[in-house]
Amino acid sequence: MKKQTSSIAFLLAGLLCCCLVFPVAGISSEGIPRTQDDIHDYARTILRTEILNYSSDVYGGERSAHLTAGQLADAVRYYPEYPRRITDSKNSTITIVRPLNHIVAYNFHSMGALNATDLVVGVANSAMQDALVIPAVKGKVNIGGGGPYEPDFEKLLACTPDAVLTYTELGPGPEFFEKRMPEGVPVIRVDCIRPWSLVPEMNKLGYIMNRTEQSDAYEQWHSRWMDEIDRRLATVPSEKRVRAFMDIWSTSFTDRSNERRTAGGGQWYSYGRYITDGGGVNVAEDLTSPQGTVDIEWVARQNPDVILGVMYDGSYESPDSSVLKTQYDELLSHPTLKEIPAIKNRRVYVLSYRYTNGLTYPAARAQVAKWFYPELFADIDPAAIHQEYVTRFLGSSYDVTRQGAFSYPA
Amino acid sequence: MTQETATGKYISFIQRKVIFLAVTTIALFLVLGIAVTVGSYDMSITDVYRIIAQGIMNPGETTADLVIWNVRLPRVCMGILAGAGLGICGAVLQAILRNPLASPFTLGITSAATFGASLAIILGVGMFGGSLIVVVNAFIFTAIASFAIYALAFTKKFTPGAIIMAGIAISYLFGALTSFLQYIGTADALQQVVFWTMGSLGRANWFAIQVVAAILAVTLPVLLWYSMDLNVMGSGDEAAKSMGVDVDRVRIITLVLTSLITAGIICFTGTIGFIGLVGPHMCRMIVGPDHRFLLPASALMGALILLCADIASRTLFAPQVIPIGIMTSFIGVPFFIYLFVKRRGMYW
Amino acid sequence: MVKIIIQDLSFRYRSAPVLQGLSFNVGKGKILGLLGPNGSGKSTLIKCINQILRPQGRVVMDGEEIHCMPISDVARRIGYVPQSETMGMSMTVFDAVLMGRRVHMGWKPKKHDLEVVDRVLHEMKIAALAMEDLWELSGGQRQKVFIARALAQEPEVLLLDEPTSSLDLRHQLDTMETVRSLVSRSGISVVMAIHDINLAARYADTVAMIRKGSIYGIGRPQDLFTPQAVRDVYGVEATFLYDATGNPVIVPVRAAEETS
Repeated sequence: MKKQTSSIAFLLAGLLCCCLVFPVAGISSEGIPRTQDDIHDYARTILRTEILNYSSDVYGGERSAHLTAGQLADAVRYYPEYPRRITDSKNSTITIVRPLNHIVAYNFHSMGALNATDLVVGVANSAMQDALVIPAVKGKVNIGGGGPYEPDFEKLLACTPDAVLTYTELGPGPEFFEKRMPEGVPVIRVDCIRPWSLVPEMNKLGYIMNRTEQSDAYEQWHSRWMDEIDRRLATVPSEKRVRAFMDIWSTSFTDRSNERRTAGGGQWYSYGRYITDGGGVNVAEDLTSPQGTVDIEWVARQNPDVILGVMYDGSYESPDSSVLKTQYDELLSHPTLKEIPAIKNRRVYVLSYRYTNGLTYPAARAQVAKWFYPELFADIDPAAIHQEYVTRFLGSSYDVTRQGAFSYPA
Repeated sequence: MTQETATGKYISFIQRKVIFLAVTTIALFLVLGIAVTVGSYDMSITDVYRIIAQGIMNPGETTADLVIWNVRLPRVCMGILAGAGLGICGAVLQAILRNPLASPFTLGITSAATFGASLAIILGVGMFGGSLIVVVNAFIFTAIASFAIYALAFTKKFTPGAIIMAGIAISYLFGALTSFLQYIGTADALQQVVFWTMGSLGRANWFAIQVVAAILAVTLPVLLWYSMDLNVMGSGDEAAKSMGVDVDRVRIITLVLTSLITAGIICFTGTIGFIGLVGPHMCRMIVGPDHRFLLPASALMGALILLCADIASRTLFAPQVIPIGIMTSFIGVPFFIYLFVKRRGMYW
Repeated sequence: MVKIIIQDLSFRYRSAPVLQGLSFNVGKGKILGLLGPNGSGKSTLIKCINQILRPQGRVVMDGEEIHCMPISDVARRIGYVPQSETMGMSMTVFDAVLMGRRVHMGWKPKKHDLEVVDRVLHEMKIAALAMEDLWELSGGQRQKVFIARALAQEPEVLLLDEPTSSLDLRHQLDTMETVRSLVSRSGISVVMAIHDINLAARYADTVAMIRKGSIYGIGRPQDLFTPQAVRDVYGVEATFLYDATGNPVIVPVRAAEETS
């Protein structure tokens, strides 16, 4: 009863605040507020709408989805910094009414760069892969999972999370998470592994977790390098563009070495873009499915200038890049490919999938562009770009030139 | 009537079987009682039971309540229902098809369900939209596959051999279609499909339990009613007809019911093997082939194995959860081998 | 007294006709033997009587059409012992015979059902084997179990499909004596398909010879079994001897020459 009275009091106070000022929407084109003023303005808009929805539901009998009285009270308490609202990558609307500091990050990719590891209490088992560059992850509760394995939901609940961060498609689905979360704990689904969504997702997360400084810094770093690469690639005429074949390699299909896994220009699958982003032409562009298997003789007939390999292996925990050499050697020694320009000129290059499918993409892209057009990118050092990310955003002393498997040949 | 008459001996023979059923039921309750206390959330045993007792009408809202009511109880209840359903379906199918290798998955039901799930996951194509798309798809394609099998088998007079051949054909067809879908899907979607096919009790919720319980409540009494007919059909179709069993009718009714049960279970849990195939064999070695006892025993044993497997899969490598299909085999196979070696006589 | 009237019975497996327009009667309380070479249609004829197969024509028992009855009614009145049994799961003899009670039972056997099984086991003199595994018995003992199972149905008619074909000499006699004493004790009617012409001659009251799906002749063994008949139906030249009661004992000599 007492709680109810104080909630109502907060409500009325909030309503009063909202009525006093006219909102001016200062929101960026993606719908994410950037400046403090924008954030406060947006918070006002959200709060107004929610209070009106709540009132019309409870007092006016018009049913609608809205925050509960307790959540509204919280929102008012933390106003005008909160509430904050985003649409995640699965198009769910997520509203946060108070600062998050008890996140279970099943998708841990962004937390290091956002300097938000202190807000995280639990991680998936697969996050332990990053322990060398983000040592803080070792102190988090391991809830299992990663890959096709099921995490332990009780462990997750035991963390008493205030939000769960996971992937849009990977990992368990709504039956496992959304349908069973306690009241008021949202499930935020973003990827941070696809090139086109890195910046928007980082911005959303930076906003939601109150790390806008870091997400802005990431965007700047990202744009700086992406724009520079774009600028230089624009100078390459279309007839001089390198023709490349993308070869995706994993131990699970390596014994079919006469059939190669590649990627076409499919919309929602990123691998084919690595070639075009590097200024090349994907010989498999017209493949009708997003990913597919092609016969190695077809590859030979395409006569690619370069073979770009991506391997499901490598990254920070490898001692050196020799693990990527497996794919390199296999391609170079394949009898059917002997006569193609890529092999004759030894233009076979391999990347680790963790290097490409994540926030380090600008460095990986620079590497691809440099392999395609060495003179044009002679003064750019992709390893340095990568190191910049590791030092500046992860705050780690890990030296990418001495350790790890990211690209081969270096 | 003394012990020397044939009837006297028979009655004590029967009593041994009844005792086995009673013992298994008690064991099931014990394991159930243990299963609800197993989990990584720290709770004392008394807390667990207090929450269950208090929450029956109105579950509380604390995290501990959520763990019990939204996580453990659904998992355990689904384990019992799924284990019982798959166990009894396996026993019925082995009788109907007169084949020791028959199981709920022989007839291509899994392949069709996997295809339906893949269709929903990879292409987003399904019969109903929304969050139930995967479940409904899996169920509907199982129904489609079952009809296809019956139709094919019908052209060959519905003999067990015809049904099995039709089942194999449909199984391969849907398997190929699923592989094709996996080829055109993205890596993320593929992983979802793998996730789905590795059976799991972790996706259980009260809606699923209600659906499965409703299906079992309707179908189990009918299957149990047919116990004697299943016994008779083991002697061959002709002998069975001469003893008054309408063989075709029993076959099609039980096939439809077992398909319904299996579809209803695996669309929520994915594929959980072993129980439907080896569970009935284990029970047959203990209670014999009289289906009046074999069917309940298969149900109880199936539930018991699945619960034990679930406990093991959650505790052995915590916090990693081992896929339950692997655990059922690890637990069941040693027991099966023991029975196989120890018992005298031929078992089929 | 006539128990079963068979009129114009025909049956085909897919396109091949097996039985063509057969008509005959089965006498009440009598043993009818069906004889003929392999493939003549004896087994098929037996199965056409109790609804295992669905032929054209009429099979009438006590005025009622058998093929219009529900299968459970047929089973209450006609018992069947198959020629060979599909190898089934191991079970006790008692369970095997109990299956014969299925048509009278609900889900659970009553005391009366168990008593019938007991009685039948004693009649067939296999009560001591009640708890043995069915498939560990000898062929002869197993045959008795199947007869017991059919008897447990408390039928008015018993159909036997080649009851002696896999038995040794001793068990052949045993089985036939059992059948005969059953008939005289309980007035049951028996139709048996049998390949041993001499056993038929000795034990059957009436015999019917079947050739290529139709009845060659029907009558008492001493009337029907002639050298000409044996030559026509079996294609065999035989010597006829006669035992003390006047029954023929047929000794095959050599294959007859093809005449057509």
